[in-house]
Amino acid sequence: MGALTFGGRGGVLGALGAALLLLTGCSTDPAASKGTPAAEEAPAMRPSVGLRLPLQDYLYSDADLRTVKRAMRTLTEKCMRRYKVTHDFGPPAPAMGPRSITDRRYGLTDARMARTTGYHLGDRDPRTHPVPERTPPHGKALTVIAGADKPAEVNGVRVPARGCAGEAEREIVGSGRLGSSDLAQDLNGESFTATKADPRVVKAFRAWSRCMKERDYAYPDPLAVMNDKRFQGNTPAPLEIEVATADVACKARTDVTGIWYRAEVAYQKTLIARNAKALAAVREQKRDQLAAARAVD
Amino acid sequence: MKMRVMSAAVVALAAAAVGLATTPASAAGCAHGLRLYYNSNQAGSSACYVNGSDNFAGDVFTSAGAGSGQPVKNNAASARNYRSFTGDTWPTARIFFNSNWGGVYDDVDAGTARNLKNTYNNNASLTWVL
Repeated sequence: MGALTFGGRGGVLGALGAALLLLTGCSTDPAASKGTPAAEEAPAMRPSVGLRLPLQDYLYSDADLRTVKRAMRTLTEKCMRRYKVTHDFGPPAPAMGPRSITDRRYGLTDARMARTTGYHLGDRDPRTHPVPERTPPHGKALTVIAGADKPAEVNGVRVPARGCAGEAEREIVGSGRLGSSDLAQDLNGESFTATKADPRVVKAFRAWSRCMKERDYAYPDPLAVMNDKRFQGNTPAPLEIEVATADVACKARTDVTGIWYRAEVAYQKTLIARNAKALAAVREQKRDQLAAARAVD
Repeated sequence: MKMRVMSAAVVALAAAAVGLATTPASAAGCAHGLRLYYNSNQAGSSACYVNGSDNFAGDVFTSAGAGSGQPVKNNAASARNYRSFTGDTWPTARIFFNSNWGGVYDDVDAGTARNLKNTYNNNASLTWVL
């Protein structure tokens, strides 16, 4: 477990120092020029939704999660047919929340969304997609799907441990776990937190803040504006649209998103190098699970 | 050290993941939701969320235990996702650092529990990935 966490502050600062060195030497760094230059040199005006962070190789995207879950549902239903029981799991839920890991990571960056929904999520607002009340499985169906405390038979056939859902999970997830590992998630959070204090990023925050101040809006950084209590209602207020539009324009002018993103790319590369062995296992598990899932559907 | 404890808890819960759906008593009325806890390792007072939230502001931990009555926003240490496959298929709970689903986040997979890391005492909003 020691390798999965940073032992002391020195390690973190060391990683940050290395990240800063990478940043300084960005234009001459051979790794940078043959890496993902399109993303790293993203124009300031472009929304951040398509920016790709190095740790995404180790994290499950929403599409990855859907692939795995769809396969487990297919396998569960296939298993249930052996027992001649049925249950309606309902239609797949609509996609909601931010469109990618970088969509709102650095605040709002999409000018069209700013103009139309402010800091709200429009048709991806999870509050507009409440969890439907469905009748849970019961009786034989529940036993088949979830298993029972004691070994059970339904319609003369032995129910697998933890039921058909357990069987499906074992087939896809194996001995691992479903979804992004703690390690990949934690490192992804660490780069976010650490680069918020990166001098280049802090300087960019100040430039963005000055730009907003010119328009009479006072916020210390591009995340604080999303937290404005006045922008928390059920629908975007007129002021929210104005501020959000100014926010995205100021991000474009100051390139605060690009500066922060590039700092994170460098920082994450350092984190990946420092955790190479543990992350290799993480990526292998993700690859195996996705391969198993794709073989089902 | 806290990480070590959490990992053990996650492994144990992952093993019991599917079983959770059949034990609604442990869900205490949150069988189709996410429970946020005031303390690490799913201890202390908690609050249940069935739907997403743009902002936890105004919400308080309601169940008996340490932290009962305290605000939920920027004050949760751990979480348990009670949703699994009954009525829906393995939804992932996603807890955000910022209001309006901004910043970095923590994922809590269906039928598992975790200590919050990226949003530890910095939990502001919630969505589900289905």
